[in-house]
Amino acid sequence: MITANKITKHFGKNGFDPISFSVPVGQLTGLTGTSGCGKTTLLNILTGMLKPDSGTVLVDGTDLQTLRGKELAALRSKKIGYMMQGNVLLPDLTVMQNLLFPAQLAGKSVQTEQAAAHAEKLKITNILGSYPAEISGGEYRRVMLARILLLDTPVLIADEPTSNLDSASAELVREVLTERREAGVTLLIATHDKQLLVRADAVICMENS
Amino acid sequence: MNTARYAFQVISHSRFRSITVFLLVFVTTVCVFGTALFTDNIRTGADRIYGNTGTDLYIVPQEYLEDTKDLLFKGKACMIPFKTDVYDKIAELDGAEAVSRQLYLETLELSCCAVGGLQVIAFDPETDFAVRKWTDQTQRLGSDEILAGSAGAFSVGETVDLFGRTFTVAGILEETGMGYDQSLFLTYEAADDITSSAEYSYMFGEKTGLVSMLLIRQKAGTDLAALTKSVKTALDGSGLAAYAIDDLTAGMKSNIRTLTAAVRIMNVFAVVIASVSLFAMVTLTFHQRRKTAGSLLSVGCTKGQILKLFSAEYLCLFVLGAAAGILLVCILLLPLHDVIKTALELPYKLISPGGAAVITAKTLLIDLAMLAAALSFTFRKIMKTEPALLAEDTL
Repeated sequence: MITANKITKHFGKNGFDPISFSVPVGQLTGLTGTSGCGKTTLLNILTGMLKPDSGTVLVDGTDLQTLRGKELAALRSKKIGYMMQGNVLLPDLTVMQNLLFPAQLAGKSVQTEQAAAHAEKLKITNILGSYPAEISGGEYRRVMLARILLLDTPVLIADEPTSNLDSASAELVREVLTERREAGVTLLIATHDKQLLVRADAVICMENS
Repeated sequence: MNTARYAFQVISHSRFRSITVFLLVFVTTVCVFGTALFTDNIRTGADRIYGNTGTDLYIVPQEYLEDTKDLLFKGKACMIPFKTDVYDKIAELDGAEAVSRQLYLETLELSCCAVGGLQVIAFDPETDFAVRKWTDQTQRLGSDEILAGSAGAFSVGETVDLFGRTFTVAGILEETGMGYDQSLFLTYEAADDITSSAEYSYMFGEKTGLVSMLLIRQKAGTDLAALTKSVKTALDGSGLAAYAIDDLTAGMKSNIRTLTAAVRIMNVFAVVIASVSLFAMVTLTFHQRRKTAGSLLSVGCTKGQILKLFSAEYLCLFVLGAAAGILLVCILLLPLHDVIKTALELPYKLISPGGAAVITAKTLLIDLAMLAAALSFTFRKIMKTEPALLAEDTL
């Protein structure tokens, strides 16, 4: 269970006022709102990638602000898989290496076959030997999702997983995400994609400030 | 994928960045290692002469002082023949433990590897204390045998034709850093045979019974100044002069001091400039990896793992750059050793492998210290930034 309690964060004039909510275990929770309302910032705070100005985030009862270095790293590799909004694949590794490397760093014994299976499901098999700079924006999003899926964490947080995707690929991603929910994974998805939001068990809607 | 594989992958994929860092380390290493090795070679050559010629006084004609210096220390071949009847008088002086004589015959272009020709020197094996000390060849030298200087590229057992006679190389002198390195040594007995021949006299003039230099070794515990005074008295009116090793090396010492000081100053500048460039380059290229660091943090990589990954990459480049730099300096300085020695006109001797190892270690230490300083500075700066901001970096 992830619980946000009176979180605030401001960057100059942007940011959000205190926000509190819980993400129920095993459910798909949607997070939506106008552009610039702070969805990405909120997800960054929930994953320990950014410190809030005030408020607390509890993950299974543990306050993220009490975690340091290795504990935060373990949280992101073992508990919360985070698919960021930006293009953050490692530029010097091939797509296949990008899929396997995070899991290997986390000490997980991930086989190439598992990576290939995820790649097949997300239809990125043909680009496994390519470098991130050589693939399209839609392929990039799917590689990032596959990378997080391979970490096999009980919680998956994704920021705009269907952006930049054609309708077929977007549907593929929606199916994969709902499959994860069926597998018992807790999901929090920031998105503008209505077709994804209608599949959510709950939706949090943010407004500017 | 382990750390080393990751480092190799990044190096081979980001070629421009890798080559830039490699080249900078390479240049730094060449500057640091090259100048250090060069100055140490000069110092080793000088030390060898100052402390080890085994000769305390040299007696030569007054007008040949400069020629003597050239021959002894610069390897410039020359001839300084004179008749003398002072040998016995000097040998009887108090404080003179041993007196020996040498005769410098013509310079010969015998070997393709001998730079500037080879000086043929006759010495007296019975009284010699200046030549044999450089070789472990202990057998009495026959009249058809010679000793060869280290720069002559001769080998023991090889035969050499000199003035129409065939000699066998009986021993090779270790490198002295002096003109002896470019010399061949035969016995006075052989020299007398050569110089007494009609052909030799016709070609080079009469030299039988001449000497080019008398060498004196003082008795242990005696006063060199007193011995010098006695020798000068004995030489009075002969046109000969006695010079202590310090008299002969005074000007050269000054030249060496000037040269090594200049090289050291250049070395310091080179090290400072290269170190600052290296620091800046590592800092800059490392800074470009902010997004990668953010990406790795987002998937649960620890700061320690990130430092390890990045360090391995730079360490590989530093080791490769340093190794290439050291190799280049060795390739340039070792085969061209004799050319440099001749061109410098200064004592120059390769330092020992141990000395070279120390310089190598110092060079690597400077390279690694720069790397460690740049990495720790940049890494600490980067890790102060929130991971989300790193991942969103647009650099």
